[in-house]
Order: sequence, then C-alpha cells, then structure tokens
Amino acid sequence: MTPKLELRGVAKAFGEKGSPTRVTAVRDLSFTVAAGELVAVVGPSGCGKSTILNMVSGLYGPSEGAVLIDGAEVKGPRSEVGFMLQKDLLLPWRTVIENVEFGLETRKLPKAERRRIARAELRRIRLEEFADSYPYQLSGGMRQRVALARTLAISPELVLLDEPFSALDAQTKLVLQKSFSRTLSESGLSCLLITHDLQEAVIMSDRVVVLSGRPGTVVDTFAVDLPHRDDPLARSTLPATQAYVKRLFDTLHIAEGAA
Amino acid sequence: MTMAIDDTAARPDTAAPRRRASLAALIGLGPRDLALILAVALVAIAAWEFVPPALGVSRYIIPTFSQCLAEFGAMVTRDNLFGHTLHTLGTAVAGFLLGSAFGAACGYALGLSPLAERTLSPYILALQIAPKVAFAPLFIMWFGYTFVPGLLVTMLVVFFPILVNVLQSMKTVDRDLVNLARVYHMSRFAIFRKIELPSSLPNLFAGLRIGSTLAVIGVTVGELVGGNSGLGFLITYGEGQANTAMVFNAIGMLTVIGIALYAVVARLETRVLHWIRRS
Repeated sequence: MTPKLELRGVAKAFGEKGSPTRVTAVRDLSFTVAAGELVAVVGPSGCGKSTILNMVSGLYGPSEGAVLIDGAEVKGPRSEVGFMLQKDLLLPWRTVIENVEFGLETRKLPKAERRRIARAELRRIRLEEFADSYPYQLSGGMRQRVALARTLAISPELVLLDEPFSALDAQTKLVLQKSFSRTLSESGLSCLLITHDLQEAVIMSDRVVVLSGRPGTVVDTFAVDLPHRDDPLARSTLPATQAYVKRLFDTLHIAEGAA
Repeated sequence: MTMAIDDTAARPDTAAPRRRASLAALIGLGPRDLALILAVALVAIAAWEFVPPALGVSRYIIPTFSQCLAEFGAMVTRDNLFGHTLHTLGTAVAGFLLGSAFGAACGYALGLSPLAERTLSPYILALQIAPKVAFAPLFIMWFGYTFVPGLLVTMLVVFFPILVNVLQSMKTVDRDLVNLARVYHMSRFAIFRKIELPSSLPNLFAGLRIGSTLAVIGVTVGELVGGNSGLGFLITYGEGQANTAMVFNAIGMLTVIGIALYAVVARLETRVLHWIRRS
C-alpha cells in the first residue's frame, strides 16, 4: 500500500550553492507516514523539523530527493494538507467562526455550507458558544483548539502539527493533548507531529522518528506498541511508556554527543 | 497641566469614581482630574486677563481674554468668521481625505512591489525630508490665489506619514499568516485582501491620526501664503491691521478644527479596530 506521506532521500540547503553561508538543514532523510498513522518527529533544536514541515506543505521544495503524498510528488501547496503551528495564527479581526471558515474560502462552496461546516467543527471542539467571539476574548488553549477546528474544516487527509502545544502551560497542554488525540483518531487522519517533547511524542503517536542535530537525518525510528492512542493521559500512566521515553532520551543523548 | 493629571491618575483611590462619571469616563478622566484641569484653565485665563495690563503690556502685543472675546463677536458679524472657518475646515477635510487616499494607495502599491519600493525609496525619503510647507509659494505661482494651494499643501503633508506607516505595516505582516493562506491556495490578491490589508489597519490609523493634526498645519500655511479666505487669511489680515486679538482668535479656531479632526479619526479607529484588546 502506498504510504500517505513519504520522504525519499530528502536534503534541503539554504543559501547560494557553493557559498560559505550555505546551511544544510536536513540531509538523506527518508521516512513514511502510513494512512491513519500518527508519526512523531523528535530531535534536538535546529534539526530541521520546521524545514520538513514546510517541504511537506509545499511551501518550498527539497534540494535533493522527493516528498510524496499518495505516491505523487509535492510540487506546491496541496488542498488535502492541513497545517498547524505553535502560534494559533488566528486572524484577530475575524470572529471564531469566521476563522474556522478561513481555509474553506478558496473552495467552491456556498456561504451557508461553509458556515455549516465551521459550526460542526466548533461543536466537535466544544467551542460552539464562542462562535461570535473574537480571538482576544479566548484563552491560549481555546485559541489553539480553534486553530485545530480551522485545520480540520477543510477535511484534510494529512495534518501537519508543528509543536502545537509548546506555547501552552502544563495543565492546558495535557487537556489539549487529550482532546487533539481523540479528535485526530476519531477522524482517522494521517498526522505528522513535530515536537521536542519526548513524553508527548510517545503518548500521542503510533511511531516515532528521531532526528540528529543539524544537518538533521534519521537516527532511530520505532513503533510505539501501546494501547490508548486516543487517550494520552491513560497511556502516560503505563509503565512501558517510560521505557520508550528513556529510549528516546538515550538516542538523542548519543546523537548530540556525536554531532 | 499634564503633571496634574498624571499625579492624580497614579493614585488608586481615583479609580472607582472614574468608572461612574459618564462624561468624564468618555475621555478617560475622573471628576477630580476634571476639576484640576478646570482649575488650571481658570488660573491661566485669570493670569491672561490681569497680568499683561498690570505690567503695562499694550493690547497690540497681548490682548486680554475679554478683549479677545469681544473681538470674537465682532469677527462673527463683521468678518464672517464662521464662513472663513468653514472654508478652512472644508479645505482641511478635503486635503486630509485626498492626501490619505493617495498615501494609503501608494503605500499598498509599494508594499506589493518590493522592486518598486527599492527603486523609489530614496526619492520618497528625499521628499519626506523636504519641508512640504515650503511648496506653498510654488503652488500659488502655479494655481493662483485660490483654495487650490491650501488643498495641495494639506494633501502633501498628510500624504507621507500615511504612506510610510502603510508601507511599514506591509513589510512587517506575519509571514506565517501569509504561509497559512498560501497553504490554503489563496491568490496573491486574496492574501492582500484577507491578510495584509486588515493587518495594516492599526498602522494606517496611526498614520491617519498623525495626518489629521498635520492637515491643519498644511491648510494654515497654504492660506497664510496666499488667498483671500480661510482662517489663515484672517491671520495675515489681522496682522496687517495690527489686530492681535483677531490673530489670537483665528489660531484658536484652527486649534478647534484640529481637535475635531483628530477626535473623528480617533473615534473611527476605536470602531474599526474593535477587535484589538484594550486595557
């Protein structure tokens, strides 16, 4: 079966070719995300995690190798890809529901249909009563949930999450990890979760890809063979979880020492 | 005056009455602040009324408050003061609107075209530094003693702060927001309309506020240099007649126009930018 997402021998360098300031962000990078799978990518800071995300979302192409979605090479932004960052990127001049509709505005949909989809997404994240509020009236956690609703409103097949919880306080983070996990596994989406939080990588994913420091390349990849992918809190209480976290810790420590 | 306001504002005990007084709350002041402001005004007016005569200063140098009031009444009936005020107000508003429209349009156009911005920025900088009011005699040579020179000087002084503010905002739009729109396949124009234009509104309004105060300067200079109507004309006319009170009153009316323009812009700003959290 063709994987949902495949990175095949990808390298990306910034700056002029041959210039001394040319920086290689990632090199010889290969991994896949199967349909319905949530893959976490962890690595030390500067390992090119955001570069991967931008290449998969089609904002720029790799210098070498290829990024494939459903077996087809990514040449530019694709409508089946959703994208979420640490920043919620809500438009402050729009109400919550108008923000959720944002991604739908380039689809050929009647206005009423857009509104209906957005309302359904808000219901799913349980923020329906805030539909007509403005972002500044919401807490950080609520705003990030609205960002998820906006991401899911376009019915993506692949969702890219770039450290979506790292700007939140510890408690909000736990609540959001739980609600995101439930929502994502219910909808059966394929996800790429970029994170620097090792615990988060283990409790939220089906598989973990570990990158080395710059230039980033895969140093380890393993499946998280644990139940409760839709409930990170339940998973975090399992003794085996700590063994996976320790494995990550050891791998990254070695990778850092080698770099 | 400012010191008096800050002094009481810093005290926490004025916070509660501030919320109750409706008129005072409108301008963000407590009744105690207002009382202090009024007291300052009374002291200043009293000093203005009694100190110059006591020191033997003639009314041709500093006319007293009551002399200015009397002259104000005379100006209304004899010199058509309100007609001149309306003329100045009309020119200031027209110049402000046209100058803002051109400034904003050029700011957005340059913001959309980095090449044009790089090519034209030295010229814009030079024009921005050039004292715009010095163009007034030129405009009179070109357009004669009409309202046109005043209008053009006003447009010119309003144009630059708005252009610069809009251009600045276009250059500092959140790149991640633009990328998000690109991921959603938005066209260049849709990105402008849905991201860049609304993002620029706070800066645009900052420019408009500056422009509204400069508009009064522009129109005054235009009317001072030439023409036979407007408050600027009344200033030169009063000067020729050694009617100092007339000059004082014209300056007062110009200030009123400036405050009114600024207040309208500030009011519009709070309405349009309602989505910004205010403390």
